[in-house]
Amino acid sequence: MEIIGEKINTTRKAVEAAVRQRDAAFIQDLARRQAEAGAAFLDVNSGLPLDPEEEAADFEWLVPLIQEAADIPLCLDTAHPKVIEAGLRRHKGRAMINSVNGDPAVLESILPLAGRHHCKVIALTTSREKKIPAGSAERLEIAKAIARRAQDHGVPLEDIYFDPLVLSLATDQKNALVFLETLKAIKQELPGARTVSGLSNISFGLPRRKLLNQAFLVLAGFAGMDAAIADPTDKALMAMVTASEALANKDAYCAGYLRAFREGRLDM
Amino acid sequence: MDTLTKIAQFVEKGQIQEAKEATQKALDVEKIPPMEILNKGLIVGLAAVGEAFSCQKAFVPELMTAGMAMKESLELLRPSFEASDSPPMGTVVIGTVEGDVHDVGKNIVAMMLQGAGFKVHDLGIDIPAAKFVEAVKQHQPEILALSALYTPTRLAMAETLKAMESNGLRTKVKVIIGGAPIDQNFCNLIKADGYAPDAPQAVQMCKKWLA
Repeated sequence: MEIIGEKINTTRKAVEAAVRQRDAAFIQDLARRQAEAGAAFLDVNSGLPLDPEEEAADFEWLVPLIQEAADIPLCLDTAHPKVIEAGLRRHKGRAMINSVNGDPAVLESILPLAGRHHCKVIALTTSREKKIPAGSAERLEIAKAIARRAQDHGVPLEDIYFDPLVLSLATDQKNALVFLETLKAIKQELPGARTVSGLSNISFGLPRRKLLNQAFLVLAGFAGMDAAIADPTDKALMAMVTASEALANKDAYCAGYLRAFREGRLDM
Repeated sequence: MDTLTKIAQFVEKGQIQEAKEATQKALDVEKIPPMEILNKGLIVGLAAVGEAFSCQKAFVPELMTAGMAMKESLELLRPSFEASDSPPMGTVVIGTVEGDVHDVGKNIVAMMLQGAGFKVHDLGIDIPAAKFVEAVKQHQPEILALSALYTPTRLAMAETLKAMESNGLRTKVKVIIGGAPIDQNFCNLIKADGYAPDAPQAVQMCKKWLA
């Protein structure tokens, strides 16, 4: 499972302060630690500015800075095409865009960029018209519509990471199951497409959140989830990824599990 | 134990059916005035769960079932309220801002505000600024409550406040905001009147504003 490191996000107070004060050392340390812990991508979010120009300036500073410390692709987490473009201008390798959804205006403003720059794209199975559908069938319909538009813009299915949308278990006890059903339906109906999710929404409003997040990760991994937006420096979580991949027959001769053991990554 | 204390406990524990039965009994058999059932029974129960919630002894599912017990019991009192025409605590217009389709948190806040005695006009989700302006003109609430769950859509909160300003309504309502990507910092930035991290604190803030 690919881990998209979630820590460079200005909704976290320390990161917000570091971005405003242009504290390069703080950001590079966050980047380095996440990459060393096994992140495949690093999410970059500077969402607080009310002005896309300011957010674009943040991205122009952040993207090369982060890639200097961590030689992995970034996941540009913003709603504005202008900000994505600013980030892409400075980005080395193939970036990921976080995110589009089923809203035609969003698709038409971001997919052409993704096609032109050969980006991977996270696609939420929601739309303004359909809201957040309660059931998996409607979420699958949105995923199919996004896949069609993406193909028209030269973004192949293999580069789309569908997010089936996990809502808090606390507000509806069916939410994890609906998520897993949607994920399996996407894998089956759109072969080749990838799937992704954040891990922490599921546990919102409940105690001992890390326990639920880990159990959710195992279930989602078993259902075929390809990537997770998570904290790769959380050792217990990463050990759970390693263990569950071995159990799901994704780790030949348990080589990955044993390597992790020898490197001390399973010690907690 | 007297019926009002029982009602409070049933609400606190989210026992919907039991809360309704006790409320009906208090109303029909014991002839307790509906305002007293509300203030000394239902509200006491909801306040207790709210307090437990703020010190992490109760959790969101319990808040929701307590809210449902409150709301359904309140329905039983409504006919007698309308007859006696007692004024509500205040009026709130609430909605999720444009571009955002999340409503679970917003619904809990709306439900708890209703439970606390406010008249609540819930506009729903994905509400453009112009719709909020229209609703504030129509219902003349003391409070406007805005919700957002996406980081990008919280910018629509700023738009909504600007629209209030340009329509001369900004000084007429207190604006409370909330949702996962919202914090006090963001509240200061867009100059809303208050931020509440959860539903019980939102209710407390609204009550304080109208006290």
